Amino acid sequence: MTTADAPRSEPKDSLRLPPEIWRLVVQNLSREDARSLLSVCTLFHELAVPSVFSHVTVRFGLWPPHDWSGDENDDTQQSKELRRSELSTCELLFHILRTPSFARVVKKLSVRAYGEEDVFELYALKEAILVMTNIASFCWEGRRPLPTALVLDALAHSSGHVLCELSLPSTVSTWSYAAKLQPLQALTLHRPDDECDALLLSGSAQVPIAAAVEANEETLTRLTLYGDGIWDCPLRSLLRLQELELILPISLNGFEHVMAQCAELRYLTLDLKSGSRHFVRMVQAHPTTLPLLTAFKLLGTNADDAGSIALADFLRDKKNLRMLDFGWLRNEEVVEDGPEGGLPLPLLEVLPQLPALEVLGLTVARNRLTPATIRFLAQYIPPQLSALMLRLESRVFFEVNGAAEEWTNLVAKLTSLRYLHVLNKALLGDVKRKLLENHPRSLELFGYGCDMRWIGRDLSGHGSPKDLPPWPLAKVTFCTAEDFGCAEWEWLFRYHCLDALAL
Amino acid sequence: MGDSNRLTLVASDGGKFVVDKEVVQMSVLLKNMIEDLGETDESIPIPNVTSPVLTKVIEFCENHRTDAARTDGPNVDGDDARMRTAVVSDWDRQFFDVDQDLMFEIIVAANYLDIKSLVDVGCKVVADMIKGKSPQEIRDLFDIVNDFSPEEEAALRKENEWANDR
Repeated sequence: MTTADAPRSEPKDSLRLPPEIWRLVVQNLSREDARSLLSVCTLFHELAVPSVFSHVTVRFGLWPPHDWSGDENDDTQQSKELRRSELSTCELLFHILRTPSFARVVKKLSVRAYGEEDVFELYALKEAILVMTNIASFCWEGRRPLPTALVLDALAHSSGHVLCELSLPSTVSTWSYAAKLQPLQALTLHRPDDECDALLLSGSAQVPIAAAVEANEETLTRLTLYGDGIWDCPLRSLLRLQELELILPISLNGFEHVMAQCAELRYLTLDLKSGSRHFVRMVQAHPTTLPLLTAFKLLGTNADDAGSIALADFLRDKKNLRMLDFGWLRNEEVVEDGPEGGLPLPLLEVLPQLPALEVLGLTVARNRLTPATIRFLAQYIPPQLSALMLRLESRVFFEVNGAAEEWTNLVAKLTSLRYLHVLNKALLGDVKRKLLENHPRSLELFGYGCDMRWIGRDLSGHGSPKDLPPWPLAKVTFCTAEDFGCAEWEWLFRYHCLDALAL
Repeated sequence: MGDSNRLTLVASDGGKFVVDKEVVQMSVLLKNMIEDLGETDESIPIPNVTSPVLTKVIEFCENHRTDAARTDGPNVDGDDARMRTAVVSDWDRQFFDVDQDLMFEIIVAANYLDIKSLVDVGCKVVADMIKGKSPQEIRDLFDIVNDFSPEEEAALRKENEWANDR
């Protein structure tokens, strides 16, 4: 649209607020609400474009992929959708090429690649990237095509001076590029969407990961690595890290050095396939490490008694800990006698002792959830929480009368709660409806599995809640902190997307 | 000699308001003016703000007079990580439960007087009004005319496709 190039709108009497105030209003809107403003009038369009298109997503192919979604659309329908999507992508890339003012607005570029190795599309993307000179964040997700040297060289050329966040699939072909882009503040080499690429990680040639980290050691504060690449990094290159995420490392050998030396580390995420006992032994031996820990996410661990005690001791003195997310596995060997049986009691008991705790993710993994169990759990949930995610992994639940009421009672007492998300692998009857009907007045975002929606409030109706439409599935799957409007909520939901989609 | 801790503001329609200096100083404009004037008994004219609007502005400042002291402390871990986490309090929501013309006049006055907290809250309240509404509902809400040309409408459809969460 030409209006972005040549602002022509003067404030109209009917708008009654000057543009600089409307600009502040736009800053308080979610992306989807800012998108609605695009179509209101030319002035709002002009104000909303920088907000809506500060993040642009280029899509190759169709999402969700055919095999992933189990979509029953016939091939003709798929082909039509694919052609429409390809046309839209081409139009977007050409618009960027033709409209320098639009190209300059883009600060974050995401590529969602679920197509084929298409030379033309990659060439068009490369040309578009060359005119986008303000890309501070670049993210590539999906399967095919994978990012090529052509594209990443263009990125370095056009936006190398401002680029500070880079997220690429962790494959042999992308590792080496990451070292060329610097200085980065955040580097993510995430789990490839394609298992064929993931298998490559068990190989030993991960030296380029260390090179990428080392090349950015002066600036890198956030690092996310899939697999074992971190162990090739010199400890020196990790010392500035404030945020570290290790996703499915095969080994944790050497992690005690990271814990001991990386004193600035505030955000730690460990998604452990194996090695949870090793981690527990480490925190048992060094319970006072990571004194500045602000956010701790521990997924895929066993919640046996010894482990729970060690983890509780580790957490007890973390007075800055504001965000905590435990995803423990059900211990099949534990006999679930009484309401507390099978719950990691030491970890529950430490929760009220964490004064800064506001954001909490908990797994409730039992064979059977009874109202008594929920009441038992409720006494340990800190009342000051602003965000709560409950992952209910129970085989038997909804047959028990009164359980839904207990959940709503638990949640209703959290009077500062603004985001609530329930993930579960069992049918919960009318828990969803009851939670929506009886949530705290403070609630702004409600999630139940992959059904996420804002709780709207009508000012003229004295703030009474009203249901807003659910987020599209693609938004749930690829959601960012911008979508949440709150980085802490995005942190809480991170790595639980598959749990959400499983419902 | 009057009370040195209080001063008089005069609205555009002549309405006079005797207010604590501490309250007035939430306005950066007035704070600078008071510093320039020094000790004085003179009233301060607020030529762009009517009495009803100034009444509301003073009501807000009196209610929030201690906020600055509360928020001046060290910022734990930076608010940028939290982004839109600041919530409009019940009191502020009630404060803005007025007709739309008055709401906008309060925000414009706050902007003129440079009272950041009032501008922020006002913008959040207006943003809340927009939340979840379609373009036509927003036009109806604020009485805005659709001034796009047919060609621009066509271009908009493409933009919406690019911005779509699909």
